Amino acid sequence: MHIPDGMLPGEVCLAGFAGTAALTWISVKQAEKKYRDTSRVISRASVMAAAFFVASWIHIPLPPVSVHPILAGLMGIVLGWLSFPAILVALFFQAAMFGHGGFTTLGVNSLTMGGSALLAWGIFRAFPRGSGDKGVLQAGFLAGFAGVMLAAAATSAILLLTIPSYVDPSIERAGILAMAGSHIPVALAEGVFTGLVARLLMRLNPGMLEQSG
Amino acid sequence: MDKSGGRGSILRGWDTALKIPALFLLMMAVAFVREPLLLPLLPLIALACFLSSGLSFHSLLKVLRIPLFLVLFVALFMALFSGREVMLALGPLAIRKEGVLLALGILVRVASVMTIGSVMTGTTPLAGLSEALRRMRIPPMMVDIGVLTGRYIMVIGEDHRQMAISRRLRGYRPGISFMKTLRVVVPTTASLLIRGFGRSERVFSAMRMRGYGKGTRVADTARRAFTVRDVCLTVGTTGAAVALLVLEAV
Repeated sequence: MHIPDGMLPGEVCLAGFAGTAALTWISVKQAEKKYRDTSRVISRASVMAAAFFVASWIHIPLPPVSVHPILAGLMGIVLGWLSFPAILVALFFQAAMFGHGGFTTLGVNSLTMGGSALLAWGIFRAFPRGSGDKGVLQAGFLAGFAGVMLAAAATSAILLLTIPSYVDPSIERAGILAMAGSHIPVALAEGVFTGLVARLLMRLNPGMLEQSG
Repeated sequence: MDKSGGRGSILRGWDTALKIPALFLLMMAVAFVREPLLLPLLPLIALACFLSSGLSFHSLLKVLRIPLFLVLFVALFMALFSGREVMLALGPLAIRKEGVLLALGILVRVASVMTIGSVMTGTTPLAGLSEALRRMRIPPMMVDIGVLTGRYIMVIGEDHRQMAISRRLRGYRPGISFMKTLRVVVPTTASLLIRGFGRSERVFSAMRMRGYGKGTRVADTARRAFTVRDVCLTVGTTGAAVALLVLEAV
């Protein structure tokens, strides 16, 4: 899901950084307006970014492979606006510590993952929820599913659309669909996982979900 | 990556506030290269950086191995579906010249940029990185979020390690079915997040008590003078990046 260094043209990398800078600024301003305190923004974003970073080490068997949760949807519904800067920082650490993603592609990767988290949060908030656990489970499932699918579709589209000419447009479209389609089982698993975690958070500490709104 | 961090090497001694922007510019310049004639230069530049870093070849291979799957997929796609001039026909599949050239370009760029990136991070300790980012005028809030995240990855990572030991002691074995795994990992994840949430409140209180944001900073940085070596390395690296960009434009 993370585009490594060297895959994208320099112009796309620069555009990614510009977009990420703009979205980070908007996210931080919105979070400051909500929390009314810079210290709270910093403590919440950093500690929760670390918690999500560690949570992504958990592996779930999805035969024939084992996957780790991407957590874009869950970050969106727990952190709200703060999910974008938290994902930016987490991606930086993933690139520095494990070589996942890259430094020149940090802007583009942040846009795809962070943008998906924000959209998943929007879906979670917009989903008409009935009372109780069932509504949170359904909205959480949708947010988790959408978080993966949006990120996969955006990453696939960027990868294939930035490939230089000569590629037959119909094959290019098929490639985008194939790459995005291969993520459907992962997105379903992530949806179930996100829904269950959101439901548990609602039971144990409802403030965590309410505060993102 | 490499636990030695390239101690004693030229790049480890290079002032981080100059090293990060210079190597980043070099990575961006490599990402810009599309001209086939310039491609052989890229691995040479990356090799020069790697040899000056004092990092082990094993640590570099560990980092390069990770994106290999995605890169090989894209390279294969390019070789099979890009271009017109057929080099080799394998039944219904044909390997095309233009596609092979594009695939080679991608492979060379990925390997070169990732090598330079590994050298940059491998020779820069986290404390030095945060200091450099402050001196580079990156917004203090983002640097502080980065520093605290780095610190709490270790703390929460330790929590996670202890939870994993507890799970194993209670008989949980990884690799069981999806639904059985969910019954274990869902509470684990929720627990990590709830602990993180509570910890963030305590960090917030501590920051308030220390007067954060009222004229003080989490860590004030001392400016040090650049050495001749710092300047030479910066000029050399920046010069290489600019030369690549100019040659690509010409």
